[in-house]
Amino acid sequence: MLSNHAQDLINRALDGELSESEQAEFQALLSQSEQARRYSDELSLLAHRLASTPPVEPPDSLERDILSKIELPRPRKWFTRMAGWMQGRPISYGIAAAAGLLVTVAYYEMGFSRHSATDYSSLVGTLSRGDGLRGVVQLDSLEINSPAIQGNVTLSGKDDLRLLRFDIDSSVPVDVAVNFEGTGLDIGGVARQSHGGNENLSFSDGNFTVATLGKQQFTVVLKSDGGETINPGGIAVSVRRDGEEVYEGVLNL
Amino acid sequence: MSNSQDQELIRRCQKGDRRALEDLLMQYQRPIYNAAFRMLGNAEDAADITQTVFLRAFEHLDRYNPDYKFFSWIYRIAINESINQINRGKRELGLEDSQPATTEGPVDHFQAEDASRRIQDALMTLQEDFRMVIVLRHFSDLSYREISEVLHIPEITVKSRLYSARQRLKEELQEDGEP
Repeated sequence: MLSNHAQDLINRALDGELSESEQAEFQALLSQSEQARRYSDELSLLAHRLASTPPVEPPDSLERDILSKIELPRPRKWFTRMAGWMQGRPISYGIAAAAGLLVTVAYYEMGFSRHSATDYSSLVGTLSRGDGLRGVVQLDSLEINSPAIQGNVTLSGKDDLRLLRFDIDSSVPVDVAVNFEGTGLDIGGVARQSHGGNENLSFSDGNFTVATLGKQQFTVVLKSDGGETINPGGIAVSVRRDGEEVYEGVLNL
Repeated sequence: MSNSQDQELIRRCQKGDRRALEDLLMQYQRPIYNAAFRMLGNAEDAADITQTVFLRAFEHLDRYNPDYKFFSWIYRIAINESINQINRGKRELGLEDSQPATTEGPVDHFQAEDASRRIQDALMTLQEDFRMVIVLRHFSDLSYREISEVLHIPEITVKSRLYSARQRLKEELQEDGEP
């Protein structure tokens, strides 16, 4: 009768769960015990038979049936999303209030209750060059020129503020992904300069994605999170079409 | 697909991105269907369970805890639903409706189908907690740790159940005239 330890060793060897020292112990066990060899062979045969059993194919209609029954939250227009995101936050009174730099129709409209948080028509505004923007300089820019999308992304900044200006035109639906993780920056707000297509914008910590089609001009305001200094490094911009990357670039901070 | 890729897809699903949903479905539909099939031994029930798993998962996506792997979560739902199905007594034994994914010739195909049927029949003789670990280890290719996460049982219990289950399965196949 094999000991429990020997059985454990043989089973774990079959499952690829042995350490290097246990592997040596296992080999020694096999070389010394006919019973252990037989047990190991039987288990290996069983595992082989199970592995040789062909997988079963789900019915062709299953995926379609499942997809037709799952309802996801409806993507919201990006200004609607921004309104929800900003609601209840100090920053809801505007990127200018936070940074002391910008005047936008968007932010001051949001501060008043006569506009609902989802009334994104009230958020359409422009970045106006006032005193606060004096001293903002261009730091870097990317020119995007692929069959799916053309345009440029410009990074400007002053002190703890960075402005990411998008001027893009896509002939097909694309996702523009921006990653600023580790830079010490956080989303401060968004302002649209013009709008001629469809888009939605989704945010999470350290990155945002714009699903877009057509001509878009908008600026994403990034500000230093928690008053910390902005770390050296870059902001990665990539464009995906049907999940495939068609453009990648980095804006240097 | 890594867990971080899953998390990204889930995040996109939560924002209404159906392409992300399709990617997750493409990734997990077949493994979940196969696990359910091996648990239930019936193609129709396996399809029902697979559908239920995804509907439940996406209905309660807000409850998903990102500290845990997505695949562990949906396998857990699949196993629970399979057990519920067994308990409801709706199980129908047999492989009549299954479509083994082979590219072999007709003779090999029948041999493979026959072997598959014997394996499935032997699996169905195991008690459910034994069958679960065999399915997750040998058909879903999960490690002890992953099985432990799916079933919410300690790894040591996974091992002891697996060893016992193998012994029973081995004996069952030998009784069936297999070597």
